[in-house]
Amino acid sequence: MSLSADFSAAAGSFELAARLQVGGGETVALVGPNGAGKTSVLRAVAGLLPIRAGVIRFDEQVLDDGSPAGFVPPEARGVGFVFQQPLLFPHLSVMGNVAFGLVARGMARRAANAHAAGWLDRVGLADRARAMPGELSGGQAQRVALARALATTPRILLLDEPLAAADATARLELRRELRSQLQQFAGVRLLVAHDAVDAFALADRIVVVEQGRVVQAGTVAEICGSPRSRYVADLVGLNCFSGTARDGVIELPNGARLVASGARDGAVFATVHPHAISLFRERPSGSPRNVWRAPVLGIEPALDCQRVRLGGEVPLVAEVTARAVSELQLATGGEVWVALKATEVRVQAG
Amino acid sequence: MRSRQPALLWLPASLGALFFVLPLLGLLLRAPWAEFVGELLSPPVLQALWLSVRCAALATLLTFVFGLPLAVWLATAAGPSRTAVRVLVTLPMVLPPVVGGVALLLAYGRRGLFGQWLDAWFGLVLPFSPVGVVLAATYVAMPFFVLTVEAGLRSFDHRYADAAASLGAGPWRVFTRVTLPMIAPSLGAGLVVAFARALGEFGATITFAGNLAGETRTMPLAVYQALQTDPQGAIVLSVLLVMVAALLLFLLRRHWLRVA
Repeated sequence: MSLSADFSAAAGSFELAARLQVGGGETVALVGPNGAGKTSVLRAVAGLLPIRAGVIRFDEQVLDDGSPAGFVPPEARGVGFVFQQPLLFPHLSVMGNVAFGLVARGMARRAANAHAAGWLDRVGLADRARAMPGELSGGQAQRVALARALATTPRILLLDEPLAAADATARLELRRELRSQLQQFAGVRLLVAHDAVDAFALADRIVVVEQGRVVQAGTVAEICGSPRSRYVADLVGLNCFSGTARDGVIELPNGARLVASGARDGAVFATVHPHAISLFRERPSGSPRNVWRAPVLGIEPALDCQRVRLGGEVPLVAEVTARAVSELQLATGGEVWVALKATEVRVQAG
Repeated sequence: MRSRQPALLWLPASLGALFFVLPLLGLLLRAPWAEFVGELLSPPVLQALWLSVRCAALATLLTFVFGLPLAVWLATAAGPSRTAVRVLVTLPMVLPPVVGGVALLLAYGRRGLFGQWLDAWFGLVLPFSPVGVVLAATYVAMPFFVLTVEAGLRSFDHRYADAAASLGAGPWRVFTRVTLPMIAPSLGAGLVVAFARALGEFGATITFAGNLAGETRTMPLAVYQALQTDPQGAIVLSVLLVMVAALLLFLLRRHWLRVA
């Protein structure tokens, strides 16, 4: 069981060209900046956005090949779609909403209601079956939307930022709920995540979409290890630079230089892990090839360290221990010596 | 508009409001309340009332059956054809109803463009019959329904239709089980406005359907008739129509008399 898509489609003002593959029992997360075309990918798979060229296929069945004859309408694709907003039908009760897809697929009303009640029980909302959607909290409504999509036993489950509508406290619980439901769901799972935490918590593989193109795909570890764009680097908290390399030195657009071992000549994209940056009160002696003095713009506490924002020609974020901050007498507005080993600058062709 | 308004506006505003109050007051003060019930139950009045209600109800039904698809088409189509149909549908709203009646005669009259074939092939004669009353009323009432429902459809959030389709509902099920229930307020308002407009139609009716007692003499025609022979009766009929109008406005309160 697998979904494969390699297509182009008109998505608003730009052309979307996407290529991805999702296996059965696998969760793939689409990440990328706002307006990159992630939602359009889901809409194309669901049949809500007909593609222009290419093909979307589930196993051997063609769902869309850009021709009217090859287009399978959304109601016949066997997809479950959870949208950013719950989009519960306001004129139907919670149970009516969950039973809607079952009745639409030909199940008798009574059986559909019984089935829907079971699904409401599974998402912990059995007691809200008779409520109208307007009476639910945001988190509850999204759980009903999830139950409504899963109740039709789809082959493909599409989730478009399913946690976006929930508030911070409901989010945590909803994420847990989602993860357990995803684990039990046997079909293909494709998820749009705006939040890196959601993507990393729920997905087996990540597909990065920027400006309508897939720029990188891989496991969470692969993506975090070598992000290929500024967006992904920011997403995983790395420092990144693009510049031109020559003889092992990267020249940044503002003229600053970074020594990087193993940089091939030409346009490059370099990342530096915040842990790899060392800070000193006095000019360090020894091997580091990159040493400079930089102003401290700010110090923010992070989970298990302090993130020090450094200005100057090479703006960076360094992560150091709280003890180092006090030993170095770091303070916003002060200056500090920065050292970075050439081997810690990871370079890829830009 | 919570900011301060110039005081100068209040004078014409009060005069404007008074302009609407006085005619209503005149009607209510001059009504022969003693004979009111008796007049109301007289055969000609009951006849006109019954005819009016039946014809307006039928016109509303026709409006729904043909106006709803038209509204859907107008809300989804694009390009010059939509603009053209839009203009054609809206025209009866701004056209003097008498002119509408003349146009109906020329199209569906016995010698009309289409009417002559109806007569020749089926022996159907539309004008000067209760069917003519229904047609005239539909002609003037449908535009109000179409525009109200079209506005409702335009503000309908299409993502609900997407959600329904992804759940396995085909276009017809999406339309009847999701779209229509969700635009129910617009549908209701459109029906009430169409009914009110059909009930009050005068110009097109008298031109196309004539003024035959028991056949085509609806309430507004009866008022007009009574005014020339029995002014008291005209007032009674008018007060009755005001009451009906008040009732319709009550039904429309959510849609038109919305108070923040």
